[in-house]
Amino acid sequence: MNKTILLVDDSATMLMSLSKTLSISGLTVETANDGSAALEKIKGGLKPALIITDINMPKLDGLGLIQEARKLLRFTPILALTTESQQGKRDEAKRHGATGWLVKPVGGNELLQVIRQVIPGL
Amino acid sequence: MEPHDSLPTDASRGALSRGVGAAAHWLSSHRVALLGAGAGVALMAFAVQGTAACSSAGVPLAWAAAGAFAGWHARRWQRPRGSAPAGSPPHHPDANAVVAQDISTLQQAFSVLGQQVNATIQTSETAVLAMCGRLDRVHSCTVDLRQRVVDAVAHSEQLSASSLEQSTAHAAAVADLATHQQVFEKTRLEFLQRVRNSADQVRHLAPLAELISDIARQTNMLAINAAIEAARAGNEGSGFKVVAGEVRRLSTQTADAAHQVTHGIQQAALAIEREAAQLEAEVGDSSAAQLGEISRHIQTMSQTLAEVVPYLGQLSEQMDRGIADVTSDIVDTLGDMQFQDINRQLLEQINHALGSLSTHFAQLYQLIDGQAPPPPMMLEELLQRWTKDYVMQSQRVAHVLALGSGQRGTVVPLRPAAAAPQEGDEEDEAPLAVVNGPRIELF
Repeated sequence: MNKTILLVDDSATMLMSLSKTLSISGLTVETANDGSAALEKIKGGLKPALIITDINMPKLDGLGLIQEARKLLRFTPILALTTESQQGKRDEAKRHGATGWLVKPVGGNELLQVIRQVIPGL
Repeated sequence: MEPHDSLPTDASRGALSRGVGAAAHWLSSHRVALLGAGAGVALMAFAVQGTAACSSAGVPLAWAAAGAFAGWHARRWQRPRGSAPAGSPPHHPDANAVVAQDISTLQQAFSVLGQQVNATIQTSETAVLAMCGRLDRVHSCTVDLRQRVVDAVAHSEQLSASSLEQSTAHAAAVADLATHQQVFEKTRLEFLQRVRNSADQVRHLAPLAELISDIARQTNMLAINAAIEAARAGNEGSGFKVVAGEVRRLSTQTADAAHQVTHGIQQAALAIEREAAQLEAEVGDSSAAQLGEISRHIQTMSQTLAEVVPYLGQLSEQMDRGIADVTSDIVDTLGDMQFQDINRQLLEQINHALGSLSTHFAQLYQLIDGQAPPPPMMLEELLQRWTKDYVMQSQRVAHVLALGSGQRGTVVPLRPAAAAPQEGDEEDEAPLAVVNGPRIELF
């Protein structure tokens, strides 16, 4: 597949499990511990095929990241993967340009199915 | 540490529940002893931090110890109601009422925290059981794949032995053919030589027949001349005339015989050629028979190969399917690991709630000692504030269930999933058990 996915989460377990899931499926993975670090990578020239981000994170949270990343990457799909269940935050993510909202836990195969839906030609 | 060491047992969960319940009950019945409650809460916070950090089996015991310690401390620090020690500052006029109300709410607080802990335990158990199930399937799949490989090796050995046997047969057939070809070539050359010799001998007979014919013609001429001379001699030559006639008749017979000999030689040459051709054809038929046998051997070998190729293809497909199943289970097991992040957040929230409880009871203690005014909010309000930290639906449900099971204060009602927020609803008073949208939604 050779597509790069940017994973953003402040949980080391989440980054590890998602990285393994995606790399098993032939995807290249970049990780960031918070929204700020992810934004720095994007500003540094990283052009991921997809961003998967947590919502509640230190420094820059997921909603802020979606808002800022959308200004730099107009067509890149952005998925929120979070435990957050407030409809208000879901709506806010949608307004900022998120592509989808996934509530943890999401099964590995289920996640891959969603990724195939949002990345054209995968 | 073994994976199952982190799972709380029913006994430890019961100890936790009894410990917390006993402390809450005691506090509720005695109305004071807040320092004990505060110390117990602080111990619980320590226990929750331990849970978030290492998720050890001793954590429920720590919870139980915290509850027991709260009760013990409460008895130790108990003073008769309204009997402040001599020299201590006067009580705040609302102190008793504030403390009484908060203690009556304390049981709810413990109930909420107990529900949150149960939710955390259930999350862990569900995820670990799912992971165990998937690992079991991976193991079964691996055993199945191993058996397929063993079967494939056995079948390959069988095919290899069969191919070796066929190869040996092919080699023998080819060797026979080579020997036959050598014999055939030698025989063919000898036969051709004999045929050439016979043909030469027959050709040598042809001039002799010509010579006989020529002699017959000359003899005939002589007989004619003799007859002419006999006629010229008259009566004296009449006898000679008879002889000449006989000679002429014999020459004619000789010419006929020579003609028949020539014809016979031609027929003999043709017969030799036919025999040679037939012999050559018979030798060719024998070669064709040997070649046919080799062809059959090769066909058998091809059939063996034709059997091997689909078998290997089928085996490859089975291996691919097995590996795909294993990969799928591993991917889902990795997904199950998200429970750790969920539990971390649950425990962080519980820890935060215990911290606020600890602070609150310290403020109440200061109130009783006349050191400070009443806390800025009642425990009931503090409980309500906990809901602001909730991010998961399970937390909100646990809160509502806890309040619903033993509540005496305000209970936030469950609202249907599709219900829209009502006018006047504020974010701080958001319904607790609303199912907010699908689990996976693509905008």
